[in-house]
Amino acid sequence: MTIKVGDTLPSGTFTIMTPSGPAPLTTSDLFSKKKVALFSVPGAFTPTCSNEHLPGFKSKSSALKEKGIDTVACMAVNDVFVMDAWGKERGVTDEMLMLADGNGEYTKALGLELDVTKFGLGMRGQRFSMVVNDGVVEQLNIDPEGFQLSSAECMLNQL
Amino acid sequence: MISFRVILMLSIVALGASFTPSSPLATVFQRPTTTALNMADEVKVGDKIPSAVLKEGQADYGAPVDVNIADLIAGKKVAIFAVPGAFTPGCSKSHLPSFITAQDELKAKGVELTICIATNDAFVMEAWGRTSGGSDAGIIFLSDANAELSRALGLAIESDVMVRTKRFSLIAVDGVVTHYFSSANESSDTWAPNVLSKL
Repeated sequence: MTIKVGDTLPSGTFTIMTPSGPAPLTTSDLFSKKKVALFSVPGAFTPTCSNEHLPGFKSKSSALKEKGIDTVACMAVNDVFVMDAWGKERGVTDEMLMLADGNGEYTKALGLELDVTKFGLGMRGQRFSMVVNDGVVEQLNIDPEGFQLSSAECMLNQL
Repeated sequence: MISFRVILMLSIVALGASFTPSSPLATVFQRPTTTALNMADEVKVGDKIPSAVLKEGQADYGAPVDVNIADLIAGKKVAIFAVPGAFTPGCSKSHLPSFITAQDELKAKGVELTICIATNDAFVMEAWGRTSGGSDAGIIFLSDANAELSRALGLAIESDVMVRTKRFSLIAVDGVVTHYFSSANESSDTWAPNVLSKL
């Protein structure tokens, strides 16, 4: 079952880094009563994710907030230490939440797994972006390969 | 006429031999998945570091490059240390920094190369090496993403979703382990000061 526009997101828990160390963040805390721009990348520190997808959401985060987005969040199947390090290395921690789906459980719940074992990356998440309003998917752009629809620009144009 | 029993024995021996890491048939039977087919006994002094292909990430998001560990360490005295996870606290605050600061002393003791291994992917390892100062200090960061080397050294930690490697350090000369430091007692046994004290 793959998530689609109109669906209510399944409940689950991510891990985020806080000043006192790793902590869980439930989907309820993340999505309830908020408009969230959530995007997913196959891998922290990988080329397209680092050079294009993530920076795009950083530079467009103010514009997204002007259009009613409360929170910008990036998720990947990486552990919380790697996600935190990546967010700091890219300088994006002020603009967005870095969500670690370390075991890929939430990615699987969305039906959006990506098999990149041939690149030595194991099971990861597909590249996508979505706008979620109080837990309901309003916009969904999936790029099963490459990087076109899931950019911040595309999302802005659709808002 | 060969008895059935002899044929059975020979078949069992042949089957067993086909799964040993060093036999050529092992490559035919190995499945590239995260479930261990079988894990070797824990590495010890005197063992030869097995041939395994790891990946080294490249600067500026270049494609990772295959590195055969046995080829890399042949004919040299090397230090190899492994961490459960790049960017994790213990690995980042203690284990890796201890090897960064010890580079001059290690070289003075004839250790030509220090190699850091984890089961993180090559992109993460390259980033960790770059941001930690480890790469600048000359340490090579290799990704054992499919845990081939960790399993061959008997030091993989299996879980349903990901394999990690136990923390260890070792010294090898021309591919043969001369000193092995396990973290079974204290993590600090694997840090550079303890390694240096035994050289």
